[in-house]
Amino acid sequence: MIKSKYVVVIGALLALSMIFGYIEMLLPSFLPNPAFKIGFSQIPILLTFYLINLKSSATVSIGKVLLMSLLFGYFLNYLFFVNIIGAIFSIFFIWLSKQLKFSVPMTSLMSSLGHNLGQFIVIGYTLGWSIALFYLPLIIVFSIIFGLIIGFISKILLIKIEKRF
Amino acid sequence: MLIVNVKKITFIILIPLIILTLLYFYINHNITVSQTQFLMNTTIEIKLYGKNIDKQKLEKIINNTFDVIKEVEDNSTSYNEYTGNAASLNKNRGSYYQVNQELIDQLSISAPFYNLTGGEFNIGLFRTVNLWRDSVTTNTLPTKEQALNSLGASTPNDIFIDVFNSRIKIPPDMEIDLGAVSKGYSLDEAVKFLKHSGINKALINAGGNILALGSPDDRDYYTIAVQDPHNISRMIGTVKLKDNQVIATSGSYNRYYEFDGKKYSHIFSGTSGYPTDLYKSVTVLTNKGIISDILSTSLFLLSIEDGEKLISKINYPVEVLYVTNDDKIIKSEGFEIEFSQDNQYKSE
Amino acid sequence: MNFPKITNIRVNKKELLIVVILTMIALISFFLFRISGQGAMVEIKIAQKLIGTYDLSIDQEVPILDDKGNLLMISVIKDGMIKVVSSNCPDKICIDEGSINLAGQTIVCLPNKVVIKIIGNNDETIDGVLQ
Repeated sequence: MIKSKYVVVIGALLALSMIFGYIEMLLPSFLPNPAFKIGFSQIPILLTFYLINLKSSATVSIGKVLLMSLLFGYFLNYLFFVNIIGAIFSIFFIWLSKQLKFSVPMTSLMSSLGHNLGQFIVIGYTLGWSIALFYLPLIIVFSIIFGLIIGFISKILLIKIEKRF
Repeated sequence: MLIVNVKKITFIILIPLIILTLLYFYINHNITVSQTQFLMNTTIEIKLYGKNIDKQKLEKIINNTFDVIKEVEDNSTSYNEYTGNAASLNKNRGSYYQVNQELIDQLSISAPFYNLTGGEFNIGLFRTVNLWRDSVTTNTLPTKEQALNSLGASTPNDIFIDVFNSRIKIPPDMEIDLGAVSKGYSLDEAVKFLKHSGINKALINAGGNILALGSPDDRDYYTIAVQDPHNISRMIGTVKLKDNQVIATSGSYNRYYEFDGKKYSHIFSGTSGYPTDLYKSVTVLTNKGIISDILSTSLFLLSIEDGEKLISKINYPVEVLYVTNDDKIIKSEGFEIEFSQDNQYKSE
Repeated sequence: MNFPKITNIRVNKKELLIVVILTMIALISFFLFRISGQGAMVEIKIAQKLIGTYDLSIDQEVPILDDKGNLLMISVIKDGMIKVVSSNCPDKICIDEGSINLAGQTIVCLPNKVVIKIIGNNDETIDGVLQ
C-alpha cells in the first residue's frame, strides 16, 4: 500500500471518530452522570489500530481531541487537558493489550479503561481525590460494559472488512 | 478439557476472594457502642468507637465505666439518700474525718477557687442549696437575708485537708456541696478507667460536660453541637472537640428554681447565696473534666473582666464563650466554633 | 488494500478472569468510598478551594463566581435539592446532571473546575450535644 493511501484512510477514520464524538454529544444521556459516554468514537481508533498500526491509532486518538477542542472552543482549556491525558492513557493501554495478545473486545475494554483512568488521575489531582474516588467504581464498571460493547461492534466490523477486502 | 480447568481455577481463586472480602468488611466494620444512664442528676452517655469484632468487649467496658462514675457519685453527693464520703463528712463536721482519695482530689482542687474567684465559687453551699430546694416546695422566695445567713461565717479556706492521712476537717457551721465539681471529676475518673481498659476512642457526654478521648477514624475531632439557650431543639453552632479536650456549659436555662413564674438559676453566688443571672450561658473549653466543671460555674458568677483574670491565674489552657442576656456572643479568640447560619445571635 | 490478518478475535478465559477481577475492584472501591444518606448541606468548591457552604433546606439561588468576580454558573436550591441552571462552560454537562440531594452526590463542571458536593446531614455527623 502506498503511503498516501494510508494518509487517506487515517484521515477518513479521524473524521469518522470526530463525527461519532459529535453525535454522542447530541444524544441525551441515560447514565447517572452525563460525563460518562459510551465512546463510539473509540471504534475508528480501534479500527486504525487493527488495520494499520498503533502509531496511526495514536494519531487518530490525539488528533480527534485536538480538532474537537478547536471546533468546540476548549483548546488548551482544562477540559482539553483532561481529554488529552485520557487519550494518551488509552493508547498506552492499547499498547499493553498488544503485548499481552488480548482479543479485540478485551483491547477495547482496556482502551476504555485507560481513557477513564487518565481522566480519573487528572480529576483527582485537580478537583480532589475524594471526588475522583467516589466515581472510581462507576468508572471501572462503565469501562467494562461500554468497552466490551464497543469491542464487539469493532470485532464485527473487522470481520466484515476482512471479507470485503 | 481446558474449559473445565479454567472454571476450576476461577472457582478456587474467586470463592475465597469473595469470602475474604466479606469477612474483612464484617470484622473491620467500624461501630459505635453507646449506652445512657441517669447518674449525677443528669443523663450520662458513653460512646465507644471500635471494630465490629470487639463489640461485646466494648459493651462490658461501658458498664464498668458506669460503675466508676456511680462510685464517684456515691462518694461526692451530700444529699441524705447517699451514705458515701461527702454526706458522712457533712455529718461529722468539726473534726477530722477519714475519706477516700476521690474526695481529697476534688476538695483540694476546688477549695482554692474560693480565693481565686474572690469568694464567688464556694463549695460550702449545701445549706444554701437546701434553703432554695425547701423554698420551692413551699413556694416562698428566700429573702436576701435568709440567703446570706445560709452561708455561715466559715469559708472553704477553713477546710483542712490532711493529704498524708487522707483526712478532712470541715468547719462546724458549714456543709459541702460538690454539685459543681463531681460531674467533671467523674469524667476524669471515667477516662482514666477507659484508658486503663485499652480504649483510645471514646466520647463521654454528661449533659453539660463532654469529654473526648481520641477521635473517630475518619477525622481528628468529634463534632459537638452547642445547644441554643432559647430553644433546645436548635444549636448555636458546632465545636470540634479534639483528643483530651473537655467542653462544659453552665447556664440558667435548663435548671432553675421557679417562684411565681420567675426563674432563678441553680448557680449561687458564694458571697450572697443568691442566684446570679449575668449571662444566659457560659461555655468553657479546656483539657480536664474537673476544671471544666469548676470554671464554667466560676465564670458564670464573675464579670467578663474578672473571668479573664481568673483564667490568667490558672495553669490550664482555657477558651470561653459567653451568651449574654441581650443575645450577644462573646468569646475568647481561641474558641473555634462554626456558627449555625440561622442563629439569631450577634457575634462580638 | 491488504490489511494485516487479525488472529485473536474471541474473548478467552484469561481475559474473562481479568474482567472478573476488575469487577471485584469496582465492588470493593464502591464499598470503601460510598457515602450515603439524605444531605443537609451543600459545599461548592472551585479548583479545590471552598467558596461556600449552603443549607439545602433553604430555597435560594446561588451564583458561583470565580476569584475575579466573573459569573461562572448559577445554581438553584429548591425542595432540598440543588441543580445548575446556567453555566458558561461549552459542554453544559453540569446542567444535564439535573438535581442532586443525597450526601456524596456531586455535580462536576470540568471546564470551570467547579465541584458542587452534598455533604452529610448535620445531625448524623454530630457526635454529641452540649446542653
